[in-house]
Amino acid sequence: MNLGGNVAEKRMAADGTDQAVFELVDEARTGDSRAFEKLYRTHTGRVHALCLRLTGDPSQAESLTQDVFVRVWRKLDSFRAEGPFAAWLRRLTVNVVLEDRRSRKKESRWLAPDGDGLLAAGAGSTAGNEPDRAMDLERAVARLPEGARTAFVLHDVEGFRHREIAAITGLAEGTIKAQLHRARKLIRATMETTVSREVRP
Amino acid sequence: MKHDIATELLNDYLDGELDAPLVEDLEGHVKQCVTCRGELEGLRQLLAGAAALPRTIEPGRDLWPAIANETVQHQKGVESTTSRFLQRLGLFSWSWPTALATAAVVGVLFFSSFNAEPLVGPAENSSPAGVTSPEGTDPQGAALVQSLEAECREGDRELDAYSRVAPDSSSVSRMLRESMPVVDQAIAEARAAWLSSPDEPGLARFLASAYRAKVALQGRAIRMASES
Repeated sequence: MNLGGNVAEKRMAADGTDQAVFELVDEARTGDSRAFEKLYRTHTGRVHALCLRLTGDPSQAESLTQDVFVRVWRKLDSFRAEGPFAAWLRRLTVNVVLEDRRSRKKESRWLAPDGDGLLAAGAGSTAGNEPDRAMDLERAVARLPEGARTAFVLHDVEGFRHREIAAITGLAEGTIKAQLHRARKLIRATMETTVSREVRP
Repeated sequence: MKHDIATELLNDYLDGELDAPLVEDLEGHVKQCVTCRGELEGLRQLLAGAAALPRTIEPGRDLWPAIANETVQHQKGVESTTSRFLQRLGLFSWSWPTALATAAVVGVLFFSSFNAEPLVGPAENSSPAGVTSPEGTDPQGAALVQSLEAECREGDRELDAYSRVAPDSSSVSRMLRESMPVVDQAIAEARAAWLSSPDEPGLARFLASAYRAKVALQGRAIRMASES
């Protein structure tokens, strides 16, 4: 069983290798800004969600989303049509966020942003039956230390494999696993605390 | 399997990282251990919750105006650079056909930066249209190239017809014809790269972009010639 792989496959299938997207990319490559705007409108929510979860900061996430699409415009020629555009875009998004993080040279912190920003940005509005639980989860993810948050978001939310995350971040696969296990432990502890507070009379 | 070892392996078990013998041992332990069963169930719920999080979260404001502005600035920067490049070459004065031609040339230069080996040499004097497509892994790109080649041949025929009726009918059409060799050079080099690496799918589309520049230039030349 590989939950990460399954999630990745499902999400890739949902993104599809849509011919219409390839055509938009082709048109955008020739400088057609309307085609590029369509690409932006189609994919901005996905890019923004990833930026928001990786940073835990709505303002930074918007700025990075903007950076991602400017980078896409400049790098459209390097997109190869044999793979899904959404997968290429997702990888590029992660790179932009990690590059920004390195440039800021922020140290890992146990309590980074408090996670309320995620709620203000609309995260947690799931279609499922447990929106409160999803909000708690988003909040707990945002409160993770940077390394653990990156491992959790990329593996458990986005479906990247350990070795892919290791390649993107430049860290050893063992380190990624350790960060991921730590993230899960911290999230569960945070969520259990939340639940016990709510239950307390 | 001892309890503390089993606890350590639960994450790897869920991630599919354990070898079959360990899986068997762990499952045997979990069946008998209430604590591990609870731990495993908690982890499963967490992973299910993570996988069910919304895939999209729209930004709080429309980011497009700022993105559009930045892309326009970037485009201007490219055009300015290529303009200076061509002016240094002394090919012709800066005008919109030049922009088309330079777009193709810059494309070639951009492409060549990704390749260790230099691109194939000088452009041919004749039109580069009408080449056999190589066997490659991008049939759509190859079909696009063939279709644009046909458009170019048609454009060449029309331009030839005009030049026989009214050779050098205006300074503008002459200037456009002078621009054509630049586009042809871009096409020749893109085509040479494609023929040498037919399995590289981006190359067919790159060649198609150069052909599009030529078709646009031909169209403009034909319109101006017909008006003169």
